[in-house]
Amino acid sequence: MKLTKAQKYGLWSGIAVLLLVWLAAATPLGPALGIVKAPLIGTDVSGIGEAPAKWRSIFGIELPGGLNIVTMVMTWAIMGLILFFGFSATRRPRRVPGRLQLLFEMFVGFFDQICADSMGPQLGRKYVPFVATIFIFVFISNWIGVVPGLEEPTRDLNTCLGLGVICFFVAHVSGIRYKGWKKYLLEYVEPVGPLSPFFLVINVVGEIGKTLSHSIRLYGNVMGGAVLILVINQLSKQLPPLSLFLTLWFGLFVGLVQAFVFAMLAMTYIAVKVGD
Amino acid sequence: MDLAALSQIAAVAGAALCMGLGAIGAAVGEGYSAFKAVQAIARQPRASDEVVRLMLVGMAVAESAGIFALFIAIVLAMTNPQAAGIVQVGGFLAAGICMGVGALGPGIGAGLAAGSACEGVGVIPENNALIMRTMLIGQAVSQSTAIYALFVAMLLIFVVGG
Repeated sequence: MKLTKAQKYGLWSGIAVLLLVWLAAATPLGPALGIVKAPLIGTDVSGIGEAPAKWRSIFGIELPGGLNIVTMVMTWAIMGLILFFGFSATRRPRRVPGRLQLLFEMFVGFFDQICADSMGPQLGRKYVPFVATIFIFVFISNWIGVVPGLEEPTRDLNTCLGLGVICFFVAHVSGIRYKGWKKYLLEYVEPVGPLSPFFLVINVVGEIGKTLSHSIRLYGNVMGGAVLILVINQLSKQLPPLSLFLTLWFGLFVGLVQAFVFAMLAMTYIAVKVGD
Repeated sequence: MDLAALSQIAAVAGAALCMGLGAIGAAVGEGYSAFKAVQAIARQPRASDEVVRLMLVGMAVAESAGIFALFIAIVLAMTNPQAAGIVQVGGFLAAGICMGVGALGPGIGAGLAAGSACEGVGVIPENNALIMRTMLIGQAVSQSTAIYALFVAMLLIFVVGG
């Protein structure tokens, strides 16, 4: 079988990425060079579940809750990355698209289709930017953890909760905007009847629970994967194939699926609030 | 027996119960959705892309209960928690049972929803956006109980009696 140039390019770059990940994450070389997230052998895992490194004070000013500096830097880096690729893909659009432009067109078209199917063509188009942005941010956040030395911002509960709260506000504000106050508020006492006060409590708790589960699902999956890789590396003394497989499974596959689920849930919550 | 040994026993037992029980729900639910997806594709092979996408998304949601159980089990088993008092020793064991049993229902329930969704897309592939939307909403709501279990388990480990 003869491969085309593009296929060869894809194949070799894929192999290169695999080798890089393996080298960094799986060999004893990684910790020695200090390029792995934590020294894997003899790791003290007692810090699991806590947010990454914090700054307690800045320029001598005490910060009450601390500042999650790693998360912040990574978030800004990811935003820069998205902006860079977005600009370079759309700066000079061509009628016959290049590789990057084609990728972005497919990406936008895919979300355009999903949103239009779910919310109707006119309303759907208004929310494509939001849903696609949420997806691309979470997606790159999840995948960036595969690169040794970098940490996923989504591993920090604060990032996930922040995204969840953003989705919450967007959904509710859109609901008020498209339905009006009365209809929006009336939804909370449905089904209307003598038991309405009771349903009010249930509905309010349900709204809060929806946002919490939305964020914690992402956090739990990313954090669970990261912790699992750490622990199994430690137990297996970094048996290369296992470590590589786990990194790719949790980093790439679970990361992609969870990002998609997160974006779809955000879209669905909006669709329910604006729909009849 | 001293407190350190007791708390270690409780944490290890809690971790085992948590992951052992927590695996059941997700496994049953995901198996069911795979079974329904296979049936749907067998009936309607041209819808295989939609069905596989829906199955993966549905399974990912159904699995989160299992992931929560895994998270609690790892926290219990690997962090070697030290109880401050005898009450917290019970808390470690209780946290494992809480998350393990709590993951049973949502895992099965979300899997059932994913299975029915795959079945539905197999019947009318054009409806897949609507079906996915309904499935995700239902799964997200049915999963809130797993979130409650996770919260209570964390409370039991880190707060109660500490």
